[in-house]
Amino acid sequence: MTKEDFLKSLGRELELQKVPEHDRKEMLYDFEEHFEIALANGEKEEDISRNLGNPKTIAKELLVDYRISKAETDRSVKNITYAVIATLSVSFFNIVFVLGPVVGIFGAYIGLCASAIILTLSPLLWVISLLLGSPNILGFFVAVAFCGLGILLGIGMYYAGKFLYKWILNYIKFNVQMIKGVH
Amino acid sequence: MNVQFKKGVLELCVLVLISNKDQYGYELAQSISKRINVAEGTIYPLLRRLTKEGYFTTYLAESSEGPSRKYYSLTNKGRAYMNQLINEWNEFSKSVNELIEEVIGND
Repeated sequence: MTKEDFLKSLGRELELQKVPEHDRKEMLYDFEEHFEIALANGEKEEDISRNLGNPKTIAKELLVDYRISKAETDRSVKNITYAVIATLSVSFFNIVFVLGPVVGIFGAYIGLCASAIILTLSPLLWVISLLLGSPNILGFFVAVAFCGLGILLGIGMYYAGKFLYKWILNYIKFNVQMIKGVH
Repeated sequence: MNVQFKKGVLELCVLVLISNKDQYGYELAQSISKRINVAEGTIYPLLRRLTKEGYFTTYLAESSEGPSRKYYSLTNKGRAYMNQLINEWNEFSKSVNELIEEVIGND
């Protein structure tokens, strides 16, 4: 592979993964510098490329770190999802050890959030039962109590969500360290 | 040597080499591939990650021959991390050596 082929392949891979141009240039710079110094050192383009390794593999490794740091600095469900996907792509091992726990815990979290919303909205059910013509004073108190519980659970879920975000990030970082570059 | 072993200690090697003197990527790749057979390209993602974690700082320096070079320099945080890794590595390799010695050495 020539220098141009190598850099093109690496750049295209990063572009496909929607890494912004600024970051892409920064990542490619290291390899351009490497080629230039190696060439000045009398090495052949083919040898330099071979010693560097597969540009697709390198792109994957660059991408994992990029995605994780993005999820760290700009907290959003989209970014953490990208980070998880990038981590999965680095090794098959991760499909079991990352996807399993993350999906399980995330599922439980969504379930609890849904419960919080339903509990909070329970007075609405009481209002509906009122419209249907069966006023029930006990039902009113039950609904208010449920609503209170729902709000408390909702607040709890808000903080649990923040904690979960951090946990997932640390967990995928831990996994990346464990399998670092093993394909 | 097993790929998993190599990649795991690559981080430690990079830290140790840079602790000795500031180095640029190509120079590091040369020093490492002289001893360990590894795809040199993998050190760049590693360098980026360690820099982001605050273990290295970088600066560009002109060279008398060829293009300017991006040098990596170890921070205090990086030095502390390196020392921790060295201790872990020493303990780990000692345990494994002892195990090998016990099981195979007495055969």
